[in-house]
Amino acid sequence: MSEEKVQFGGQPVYTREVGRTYGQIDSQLVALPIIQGSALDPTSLFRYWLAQMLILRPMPSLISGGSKGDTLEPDAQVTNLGAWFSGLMAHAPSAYAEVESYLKQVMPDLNDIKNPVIGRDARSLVVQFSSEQGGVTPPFEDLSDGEQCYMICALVLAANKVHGPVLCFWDEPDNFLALSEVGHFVMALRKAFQFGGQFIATSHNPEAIRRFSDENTLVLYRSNHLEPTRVRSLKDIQVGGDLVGALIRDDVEP
Amino acid sequence: MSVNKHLPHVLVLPEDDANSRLANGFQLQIDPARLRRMQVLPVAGGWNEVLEHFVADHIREMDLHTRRFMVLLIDFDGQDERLANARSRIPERLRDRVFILGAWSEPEDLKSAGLGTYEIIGSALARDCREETDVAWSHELL
Repeated sequence: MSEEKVQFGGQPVYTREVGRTYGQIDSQLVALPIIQGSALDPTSLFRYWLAQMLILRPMPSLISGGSKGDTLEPDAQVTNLGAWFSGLMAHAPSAYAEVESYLKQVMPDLNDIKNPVIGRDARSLVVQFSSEQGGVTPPFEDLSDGEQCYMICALVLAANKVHGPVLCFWDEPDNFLALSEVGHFVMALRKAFQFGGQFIATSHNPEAIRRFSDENTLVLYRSNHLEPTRVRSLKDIQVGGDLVGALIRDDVEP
Repeated sequence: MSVNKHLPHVLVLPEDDANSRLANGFQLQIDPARLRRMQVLPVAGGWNEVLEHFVADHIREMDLHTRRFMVLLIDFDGQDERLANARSRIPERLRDRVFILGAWSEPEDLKSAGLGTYEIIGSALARDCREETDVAWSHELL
């Protein structure tokens, strides 16, 4: 750190030069982010909220259950799912109950999820299933793409509960799911975010689209690549009859 | 895996988007652990289509899955005889597992009457069920 300064209307309100300490902050550290980090400061609250945002477009083929370290910030493709699981469990062990509760609804034969140490600072998720016929413990990457998405959904629900409210933007959450699961999947997310946080999804899937209403659906449309995308609330668009039918006919233009 | 067919579950067959959204609102009020006991099916496209779908697809399935209940969500369009007409299409053996519900006129009128969006109306109906009240259900348009 050589110098840091904050000016308001051209007038310096805070300056700090090389080698000077600020309170207990070491002279080598930049102090502003620490000073500004008050829990009551609206800017800090907004920054914290932004940092909590989950932007997801999972690619199950790139996801493994392996991890080094932990995080509360999954990458967009959720390739660091193992680290996200570790981070949530470290942040709040009660997150496990949330994860298990959801997963047992969608996979009733789920028995346990373990994240054992497999090397120096390395862990690997395994999922244990059991029934009257016996048990099986596949590594996480051997789960189907849809089952991996159930796990992501479970972690989103847990994240909103244990360190939320979070904003979750999920690009096509219906991807990789069985047709009979799409509606349940979307409703579980909508239900969980009803009283805190915000869930935003994009979709082309009729089952997913039907689980929302005119008031909470935005239609995005562009007629060619040179025009900006137009965005309009579905309630402002007069759609006669069945919405999905109109979408199939491409008759819904903002 | 969808709904567990070995446990009591309910399929809702809505006439149109408005009824489907009423059902969405209802489902959002269900306890998360029971959310999967209810599934809203694609819209049929009319009250008569609801009954035709029911007869063509669901009677056989209900005979196979004895813990299945169905709600046929139709508009009555102010027609007294529609309920009797609909009931006549339900086999006697299934009558205690099939329920015919709907707006007395059409859901658009509920919205116009200031009851809120379809989802809000559906949620209010579910709350009445849970709390054993009759606030939304007693509305003259239902």
